[in-house]
Order: sequence, then structure tokens, then C-alpha cells
Amino acid sequence: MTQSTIPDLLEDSGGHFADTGSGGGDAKRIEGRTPTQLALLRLRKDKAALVSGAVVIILILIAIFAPVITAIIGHGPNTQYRHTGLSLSDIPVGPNSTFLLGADDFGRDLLSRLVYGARVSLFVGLVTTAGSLVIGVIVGLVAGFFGGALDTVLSRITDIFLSFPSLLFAISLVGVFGQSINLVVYIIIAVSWPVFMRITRGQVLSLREKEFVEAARSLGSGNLRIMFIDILPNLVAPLIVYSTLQIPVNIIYESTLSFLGLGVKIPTASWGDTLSAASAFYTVKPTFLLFPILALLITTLSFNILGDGLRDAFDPRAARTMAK
Amino acid sequence: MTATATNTEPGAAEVAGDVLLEVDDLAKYFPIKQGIIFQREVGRVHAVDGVSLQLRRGETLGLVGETGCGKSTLARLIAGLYPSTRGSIRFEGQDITNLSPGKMRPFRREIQMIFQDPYGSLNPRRRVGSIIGDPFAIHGVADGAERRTKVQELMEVVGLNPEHFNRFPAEFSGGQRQRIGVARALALRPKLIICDEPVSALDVSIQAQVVNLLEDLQREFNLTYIFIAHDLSIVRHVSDRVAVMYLGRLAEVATAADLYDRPRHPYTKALLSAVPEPDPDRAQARQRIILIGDVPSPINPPAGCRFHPRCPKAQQDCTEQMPELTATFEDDPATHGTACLHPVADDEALTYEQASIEQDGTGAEVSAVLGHGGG
Repeated sequence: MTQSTIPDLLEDSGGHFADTGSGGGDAKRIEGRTPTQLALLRLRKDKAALVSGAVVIILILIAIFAPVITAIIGHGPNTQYRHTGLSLSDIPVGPNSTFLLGADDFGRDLLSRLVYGARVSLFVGLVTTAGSLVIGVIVGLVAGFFGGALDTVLSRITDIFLSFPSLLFAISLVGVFGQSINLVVYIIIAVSWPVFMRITRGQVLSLREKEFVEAARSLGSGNLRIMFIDILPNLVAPLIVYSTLQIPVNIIYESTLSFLGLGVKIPTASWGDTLSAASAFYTVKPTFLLFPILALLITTLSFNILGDGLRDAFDPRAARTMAK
Repeated sequence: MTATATNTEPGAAEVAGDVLLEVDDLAKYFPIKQGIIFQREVGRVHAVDGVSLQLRRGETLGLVGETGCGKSTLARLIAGLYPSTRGSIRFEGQDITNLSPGKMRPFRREIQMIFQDPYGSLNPRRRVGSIIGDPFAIHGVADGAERRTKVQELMEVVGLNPEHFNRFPAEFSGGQRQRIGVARALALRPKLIICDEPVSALDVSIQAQVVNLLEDLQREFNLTYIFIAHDLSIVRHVSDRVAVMYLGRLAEVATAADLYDRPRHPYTKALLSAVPEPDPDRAQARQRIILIGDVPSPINPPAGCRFHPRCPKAQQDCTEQMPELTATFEDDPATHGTACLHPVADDEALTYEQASIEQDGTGAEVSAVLGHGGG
């Protein structure tokens, strides 16, 4: 769409350009904008969200190009530099010209570790959110749309998942199956899909009573078509917002698991694992602890601010009160 | 055309062509459930309770009544959106009562609906082109460029700019949105269109446009309408015949002229007296019939005639007998059916402000007391 030519259409969700009947002359100029497009237009006014979005993109690029970056640095993430990276008493060195952010307790380059750690964090954060989104939306759609006994059963199952003590759950599963990144992903999905289920179900409960659903039914639409073509598009805005807000939650959760030694397998770099190692050195080498914390903080904060910005952008009323 | 034609008024079929739709003793009760896990039925809303009517090809049947009298439920029953509790619906002679979704599909093409709320009945997240194209997509009629051409044709037919097919419903005014709804209903060239208060959400000036559009389309495509409204003057304008509903039952059915000039049912008479009169002098001279009380609860409707607790003419027998739709006076045409035991004669005045039967908890008694209620 030609967004750039019409930057200031943002005040209301529907620019009322409808000319009665005949029109035609200037019809080409005005193109239908989806509510999503309008939201993006509003988002462009939100500086904090834009910066956060940029940071998120940079982080994703860092994760994708981690091998390139470590090649430029010259230190692999798992290479131990016992002589240059550790002092004589096995204390990791601080930031210097060789190790820009210092080294970790094994004499590995902290920057390389963090760059590779971004891969794990973002991979887990994005994949788990996508996975729980898909499961939560499908279960929520079915429960909300069909209602009745099916809804009761699915809602109670969701409640059971919500009531899991997540860490105990993780500890016991890791105890049974052993550490692996796949297991981390499964655990986080199991813990976070109920969030999406509840959001979806709540929305569907109100949407299914809308007249356009009845209209679709009177035209002969089947249940599947109504669920996915008529109802689902109306859920896009809240789902985008809550997905963005769920990503940092899941990243923290992965870091927590890795911090406790339940996450990725050693020696894979992970922010939580680095934090765990650094906690032994915080009195002698505070920078060792500081940098993984900063990495985690910047990442989660960016996703959160972006999510908040998206929420305001998708809700024109909230945006307007904010501006006043 | 069918064997069931026996229960209709004699000569009715000859008057205006063949029967398109026949509804016989149709009823819909909505269960009221209570309980958190184990829900049990504690009552039933008698939304539609034994409605029989016939619809002839090409005619417009107006359906009027107060809010909550079952007009919309009746419409949705006919459109196959609700399963019926009792009774039958026959479309072109075929029984379409409570068909499975698969068997109902071909009939969905023939019976379409236009909804009351032009804001709620169009999906806000979908473009107008795909909304109007939906019927084609659902029934696999046309694809791609062909579908788009057909959609644009439809938009032109209903008076929308075909260039606007990629806009969203929010970008249209109420009247234009209702045109979109009309285009969607028209897409599969149905035989019957049920208009569920198609204009009540619109400005008066726009109402006329939409009503005229519907009339033009009826001529062009030989459509049959069920036109639901609570605006009596619009109903009179568009309808060939008018049916008056009260509390889930038909009170009176007649040609528009008959019904408005010689209402037989006391309820119809009261309803007509409530039509606003634009001329202040005539409005002053007019006698309004003010009914006392509210419409009784459809959960536990009154026995006998549904209207008797509020009726100024009710007698003891009204509480016992449920009147059938019949021609009540000798000079009434056979098409004029009234469900009333004591119908209103031509020049009879009905200005009591009080029901003639008083209700108490245990039953009804004929009341001669006048100093009660009334205002």
C-alpha cells in the first residue's frame, strides 16, 4: 500500500472517504487500509517503540550472523584462552583490547559467548512463542466457538497447565529426559500456551455472537470456514501484541532454566548459563556479571516496549488518551 | 402445489400465484439453563410458538410486532439458522425443516438474509470484495478474476462504486454498508430474501434509498421478500401482505390495505394507533389506544389468547381458547386471517385504557371494576 504518501490518516480507524454511489473519479487514489496498516501508521509515531523495534531487529541480525561476528572478533565461542583469558589465579580478565567484554571462567571470549547466547535466547523465545501461539489459538478457537461441554473440558485442561509449578515441572522433566534445547522449548510451550488459549477463547466468545458470523452461516459457511476466515482475522491485533509480550517472558524462562543448569547442554553458550558462572565472580569481576545481565535486560525491555507500543497502536482510543 | 395446501384459506393460492414458502405450526423454544457444571433446564422461552403462514412467489410479506415478539427468531428459523422445536418449513414443496448442514446447503443459495445492523453484519477485518464474494467462494461458483467481475457487477447493481471493492466496511456509511449486505444476499440469485429490519438502523433519508433499492431488485430479479420491521409505515409501503406477531404467535394476517384499513385484532388496532402522525391537527384528533401493562413473559405465556391480559375486549373464553387464524367477519376476504375470538368491527372504537380481564396470581377473572390502573 502507499503508506508513505498518506502519513497523517491516523486519527481514526476508518478514514471516511466513502462517497455516495457515483464517485469514481478519485477512487483509485484512496485504497483500503487494513486496521493492521493503520496500527502500523500509528506505531510510526511512537519513538520508544520504534527504537525498541530497531534493537530487536539488530538482536535478530546478531543472532543470525553470530558465526560472522565471532570470526571478525577472532575468538570462537567455545575456544578456551587459558593464558590470555584467565589471570594466574584463574580469575577471568576484564574488558581489554583482546577480549572486548572480558573473558568467562573458562577463559572464553565473553562477547562471543553473548553473541552465540543471543541465538539460543531468541531462538527459544521466538519458537516457544510461535508454538504456544499456534496451540493456544487452536484450542481457544475450538473451545470458544463450540462452547458447551467441549469448552468446559478444554478450559479445565488449560487451567491444569496454568497451575503447573513451572520450575518443578522443568526440573522433573530434565531429570527424566536429560538436558536439551528441544526439551527447553517443549517445557516453555507447555507453560505458555494457556495464555494464548485464554485470550483467544475470550475473544471468540464475543465474536461468535456477532451478526457477521450469523451472516456467514446463512450463506452456508461451515464451522471451519467461520473459525478461520471470519473469526481469526479479528484476533490478529491482540495476538500480535500478546505474542510480542510473551517473547521476553519466555526468554527469561529459558535463562532461568539455563541458570539452574536445566537448560541447554554445556558448552552451548546461553545467557543464563553465563550468568550462573558469573555469579561466583561478582565481587572480583563485576563486568563478567554485568554484560550478560545487560544483554538480557536490553532484549526483554525492547520486546516489552515494542509490545506496549503495538498495543497502543492497535487500540486507537488508548493512543489518543496517551497523546493528551 | 403440495398436499399441505389444505390448511390454507380457500382460494388463497389463486389470488397471487404459487406458494414459495410454507410454514406450518412452527415453534422455537429456547431452553433456560441453570447450574455451573450440570446444567438443567429450568424453563423455556417461547420465542415462536405455532406460526403458520404461506408466502407466494414474488410477494412481499411484512412482519411486524413489538421487540421480543419473535419476528427475528421466525426469520432465523426460516433461514435455517436455528433448529426448530416443532413444526415444518417447506420451500418450493420440499421439507427443509432441521436439515443437516450438508442437505441444507443447496437451500442456502435460495434463501438469503439481510441483517439489521449494517455495522455488525459485515466482518470489519475483511475487504468488501471478499465479503460480497463469500457466497461464490462458499458455494464454489466462481474463482479469481471471474469472482471479482461478479462482485463488481453486484456492487454496481446495488448502487456502490465497483472501484471500492478493496475497501473495508469501516470506510462506508451505514446506508452503503447495508447495500453491501444486500449485494451479498443477492450474489447467488436467491428466490427468497429475508430482510430482518433492514432499515431500522439507518437514517430516515437513507431508509428510503434502501427500501427503493429493495423494491427495484424485487422487480428485476423476481424476488420474494419477508420484510421484518417495527416501522409500520415502511411495512405498509413495501408489503403486499402484512402479518402481525404478538408474543410468538401471529395475531393477524391480511393484505396491506385490508390490515391498515380494517384491522380486526384488537392488538393490531392498538399497534396501528401508535403510528406517529406527522400532521399535528390530525394527531390531536386521533384516538390512541394505550395498552396497559407490558408484554407478558415469553417464558410463561398466558393461556388461551396470548393477548388477553392486555386486551380491552377480552372475555372469559379468551383465557381458555387459543384462537386460530381465520376470516372473522363475513365481508372479510379469505386472505384476511385474524386470531381473535372477539374481533373488532369496522367502526368500533377501542379506547379503553384498561384490560377487561384482570390478572391475579391464580387465574383470570372478568373484571367490571374500572377505577384501577388506567393511566
